[in-house]
Amino acid sequence: MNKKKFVSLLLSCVFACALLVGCSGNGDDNNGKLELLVDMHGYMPTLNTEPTAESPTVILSTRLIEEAFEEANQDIDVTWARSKPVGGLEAEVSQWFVTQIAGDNCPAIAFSWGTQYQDRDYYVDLTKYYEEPNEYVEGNEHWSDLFESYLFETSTIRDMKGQLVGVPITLYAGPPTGWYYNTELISEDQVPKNWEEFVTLAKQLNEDPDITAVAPWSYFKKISLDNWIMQYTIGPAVAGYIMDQTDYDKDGVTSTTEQLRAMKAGLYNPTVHPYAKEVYKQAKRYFTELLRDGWMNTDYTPMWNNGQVAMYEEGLWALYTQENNTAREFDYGVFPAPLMDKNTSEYAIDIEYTENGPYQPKGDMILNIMKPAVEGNPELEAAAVKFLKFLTTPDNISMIAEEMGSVLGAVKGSTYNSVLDDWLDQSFPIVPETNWPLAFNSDQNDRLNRLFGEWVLGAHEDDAFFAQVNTIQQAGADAYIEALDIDTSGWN
Amino acid sequence: MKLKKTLIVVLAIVLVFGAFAVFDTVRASTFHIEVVSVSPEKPVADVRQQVEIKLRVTHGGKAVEGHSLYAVVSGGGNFKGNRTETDADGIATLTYVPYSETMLRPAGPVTISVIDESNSIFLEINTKLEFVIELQPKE
Repeated sequence: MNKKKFVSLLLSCVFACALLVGCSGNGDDNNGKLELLVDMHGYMPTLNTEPTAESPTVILSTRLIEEAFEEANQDIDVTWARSKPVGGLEAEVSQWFVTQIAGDNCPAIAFSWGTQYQDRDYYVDLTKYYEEPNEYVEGNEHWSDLFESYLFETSTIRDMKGQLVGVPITLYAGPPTGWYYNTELISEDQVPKNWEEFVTLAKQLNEDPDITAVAPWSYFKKISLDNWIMQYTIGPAVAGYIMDQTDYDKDGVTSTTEQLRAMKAGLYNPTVHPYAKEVYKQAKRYFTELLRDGWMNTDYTPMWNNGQVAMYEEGLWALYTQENNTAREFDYGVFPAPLMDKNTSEYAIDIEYTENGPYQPKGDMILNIMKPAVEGNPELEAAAVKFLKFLTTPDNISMIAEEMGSVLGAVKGSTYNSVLDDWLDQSFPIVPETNWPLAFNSDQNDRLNRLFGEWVLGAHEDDAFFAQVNTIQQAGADAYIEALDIDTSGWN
Repeated sequence: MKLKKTLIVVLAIVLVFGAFAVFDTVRASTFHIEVVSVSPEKPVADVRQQVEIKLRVTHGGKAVEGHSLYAVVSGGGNFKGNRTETDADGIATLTYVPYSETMLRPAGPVTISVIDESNSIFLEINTKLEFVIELQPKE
């Protein structure tokens, strides 16, 4: 054999060996153990176990849980899906799943905001597993008994086919966002309890040219319906007004399917219904009456630190950041998004409030068992179920919730970090289980948001705007129905 | 000739930064962080309990105002805010929130590391303090 041929053969052998070693993905471990690939998004244990000033964040709870699970199940090796773009936008995560599935490297357990990709048939139906006991917790007949029952009616846990596909690990401590406010500019008794009080307060504060009353979340940089005012303040209020019509099965929740049906029935049509017009008029007020000129190009953080911003829209996840913010020389408070009520419009609900604490907090970290990973591999699916049951004991969920700080545990009897005490010690609006839909489909959502922006800036007359809104929403609903192959027989 | 000039410039930069490092290292050793109090003195491994830690920063025996202290904890629990500033008496307060003891994480010692972010002039060479809090089991 000549030298070139020998080298070629040798290289071929080397590459072949590398290929065999590199292809050990989910369920295939060289040590004879079953490899369970797990994605817990931002809850995966950090590589550093000791905090430093440069890297102060250490996540240990899930590492301890992993080690204990492996100790108790010596035939399973838990591996973390560290290639996931945890800090990325939804589009990046979406692409990551596509790539992992194509490479036969999809995690068996993953986080994807509950049911985000149900149209791709990603999720294993967990209903039968919920009916089994959780052997890691004494005294339960059904795994589902460990959770509050309302969670199983939320659209991030139950998919449009009625299957339970999510396992909640932590819950939002109320709404996921709030208004951080400067207590030197707003006293506790001035904290707005509804949208009209919020608008009135903001206008009063804006009379001082040195003060900016309202600073939107830093990522909201354009006029759009895709914002938290629509999602948490205006949308649920008007959607709640017509809920007796949109909650077709009278279960207290207007599901996405019911929203689609209501859309096709014309219940959200602003050319016909004054309450529908009201949604957009109120959404417009936010941009035309409350925000300062130049808001799209303003970084409000330094102004906030200097005490020049009265109310700053931010996620609850930023509580720690504010606590550590020594550039801020004033005290601050946080209040939940105020709902719109009849003080603004007859087409809104009357708001009820809790005495304190949030009403039925929704799932934050929700895990799924991924069909592309476990299909045809019952052993792997069983291991995934086992891990999720092990995870969802009160002690383990408490460890996670305490470490994360600004979340509640999803399992009954779990604790939370006392940094949340002040936030939780206030009354919260009871938000109806419904919301105002945009256009269902991302292309149509983009069209709708652009149209809204043009209308706010005066490019369209009201009637023309409302007519186009209806056209776009109908097109979006039709596209979504087709994409999910939803049976519309018997509708309307 | 050109190489010689380059080497001289590089050497000068290294010497300057070396001098800065020596200066700030010596300076850091002249500041002192001490624990004034830990309340409660024997905290329990329970997230519902908050532990108030008071620290004092002095320089040449005199209280130092306006210094930023940054703390991290090893062993579990977290701070309500990792950063705090000293007042006119040189006192800064941190609130530590312990973890709740579980089977996987029983009550035990946690190590608090504190640095003074404000003692340096040229290079960040921090005065440091490390101390242990022994978390007690819940009764």
